[in-house]
Amino acid sequence: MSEGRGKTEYQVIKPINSLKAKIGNGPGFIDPKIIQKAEKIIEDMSDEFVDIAVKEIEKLETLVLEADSGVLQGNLQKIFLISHELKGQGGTFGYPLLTLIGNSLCRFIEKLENNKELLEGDKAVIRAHVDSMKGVFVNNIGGQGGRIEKEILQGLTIAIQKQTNKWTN
Amino acid sequence: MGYTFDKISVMVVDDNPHMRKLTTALLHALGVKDVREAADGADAFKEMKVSAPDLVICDWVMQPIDGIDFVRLIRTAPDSSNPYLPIIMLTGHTELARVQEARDAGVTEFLAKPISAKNIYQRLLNVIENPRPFVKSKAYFGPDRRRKTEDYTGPEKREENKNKEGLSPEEVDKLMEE
Repeated sequence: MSEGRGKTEYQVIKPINSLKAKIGNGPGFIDPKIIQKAEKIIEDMSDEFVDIAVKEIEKLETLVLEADSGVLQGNLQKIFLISHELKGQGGTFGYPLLTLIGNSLCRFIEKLENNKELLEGDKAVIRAHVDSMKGVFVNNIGGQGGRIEKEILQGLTIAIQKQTNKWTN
Repeated sequence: MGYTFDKISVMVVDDNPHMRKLTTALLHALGVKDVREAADGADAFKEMKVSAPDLVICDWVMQPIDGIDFVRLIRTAPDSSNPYLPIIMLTGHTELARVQEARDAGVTEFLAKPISAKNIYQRLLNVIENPRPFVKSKAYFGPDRRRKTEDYTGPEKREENKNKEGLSPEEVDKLMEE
């Protein structure tokens, strides 16, 4: 079938729904016990995630320490990728604060990419994020709504604000 | 009687072994028996030609071919084994521009992390019960995006969301569905 929206010609195609033919009759329903069993898998893999996350944060620390030798700019992409991964997995495995810190760091790095060179204050902001991530596991912070969590996030937001203000001044 | 997933095959594409293991385990728990895994888009594209999955769940950030390029390959490569394949993009990217990019590349469903068994199940249901027609034009081939962003009047256009750094799962759904 060909149709047009103004000057744009387009064709609408309805592919055969091969999935529907393989899954039996609906409507969609699955035994809640099956969902519960599946959610338990996530819980069971949580300890494994903590081991992985701690190692990844150690990698971040090494990458940030290299800042002193002036190569942090080249490490930004690596730092972004690790933070992005921790951001994605943190909430899944019961560490939503890690997700929020990871997100904050990723957004800060995206802003940094427009800058020609890294300032000392930029490095300090990155270090503060990595230290906060480490703190999540040192203190086993599994929630996101408590006082400590709010203080951590607020501290990072203020640090970013102060630093980005310096860029424009 | 409800659905059973034991006859469908799913390919999970993720460069992170832990997330790949989790997604595969969740699919198995939901009853999917045939789950294939690939660590990147290039391997997955080759493997698909042999295994012909019914559905792909892929991550965004992968190397050498990332999730977006992988989706474009499936949709538009001359040697693609199934340009109409349903694709669920699983990612931590929830910024408006990123969600739009995924949608414009031809993603069928967007599943924002954190993931749970329930939201994977809901995405499977969406793909099965609400399949999108495909649109083919000079500029685009993929699932119908319904409305372009410039026509969109949903939540992400509201003033309070203009400077927001990430969309909520509900806003992501709205953007994909509207």
